[in-house]
Amino acid sequence: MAALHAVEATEIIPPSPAHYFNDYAGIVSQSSAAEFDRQLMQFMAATSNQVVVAVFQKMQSDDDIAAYTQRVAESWAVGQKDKRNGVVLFVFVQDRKMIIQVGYGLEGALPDIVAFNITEYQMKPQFAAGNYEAGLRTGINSIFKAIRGEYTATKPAVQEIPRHHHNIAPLLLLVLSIPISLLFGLHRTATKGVHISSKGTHWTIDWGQVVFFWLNLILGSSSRSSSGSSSSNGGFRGAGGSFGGGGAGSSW
Amino acid sequence: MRTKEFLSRLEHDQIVKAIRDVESKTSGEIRVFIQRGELKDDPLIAAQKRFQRLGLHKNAQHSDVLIFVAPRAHKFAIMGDEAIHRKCGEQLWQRLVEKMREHFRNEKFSHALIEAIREIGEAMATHFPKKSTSTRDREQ
Repeated sequence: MAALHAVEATEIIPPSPAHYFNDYAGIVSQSSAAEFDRQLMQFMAATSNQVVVAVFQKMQSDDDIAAYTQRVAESWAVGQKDKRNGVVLFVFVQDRKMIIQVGYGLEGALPDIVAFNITEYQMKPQFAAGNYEAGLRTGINSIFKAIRGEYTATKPAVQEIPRHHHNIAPLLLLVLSIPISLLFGLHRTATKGVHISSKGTHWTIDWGQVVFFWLNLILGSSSRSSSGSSSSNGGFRGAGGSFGGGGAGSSW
Repeated sequence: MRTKEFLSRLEHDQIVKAIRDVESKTSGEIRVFIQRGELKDDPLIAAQKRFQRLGLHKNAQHSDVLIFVAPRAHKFAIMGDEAIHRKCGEQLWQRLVEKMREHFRNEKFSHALIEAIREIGEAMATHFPKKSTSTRDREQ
């Protein structure tokens, strides 16, 4: 409880910025800052979509960057209130972190994957080389393009795929393994035994049970209630009464 | 005993050959069924169900015989259809079962099956000899 309180105590939500481009860290020349601000303003005028850039020296929270900047962006209320068409690019220089927060009115045009793409592959290389201005310029232009529907994450997307696969592969495997293991388990229980005749030795699989199971699974719970009783014998008609044969059983 | 182990200890070729030899002399059929896993029913009832499952009751002569074994449960049964049962009666099944039990207890599994197949075969050949013109309504 005390720790939680301490986190909240150290977090500061900065006041709403005065400009579209706000460099609180002083990493961009005044002329460039003015140019960026003008571009952002023009974009707002042309498309009504509000893109704000805020460069801070340091994150004033111990929380995760995404959660913190989400709160900041909400308090700033960027974008038109009813359309929620605002975007904020946050950069924290000392933390070497950045993120694009997208109002949900623009999530279609600028989904998280594209936003991540822009920071990770357009901006980060420039920042890593110390070119803050170039990084911000390409970042801003990419955001514009994305909102206009021009940004198709072509080349970086190729790099993105393996990275993404890495995350999704185990999940995919898990999801796939469920029906597969079901299938194997089912075939095990549906395998009734071995049948030896003059034609040789064969495993006997109760296909009726297999088909019944899958039909049941596909058709849903409506018929599931009856599965318990009949699945093991798969609707075997009780012709036992008419059986006039005989035999003997024993155990060893 | 696990069904797998039981199966691995069977001489399948010998058993299949024994069945073929028998079926060359009779119009009936002999089948062996090894039940996997637990056995819920009495072996005779399980054998009867399996008999019909395998479609053996469709033989119009009603002369087919099934040897049913459930290794896990250590149980087995011999089940003959109506006509062969009428001809040979209870004694044949009882005698065969006694013999099989002895062999099973001595873990001579293949021997138990092959001997039973041969003896059943003799009874079948006597009462239902193979006719070249025999017509059977079972689809093969």
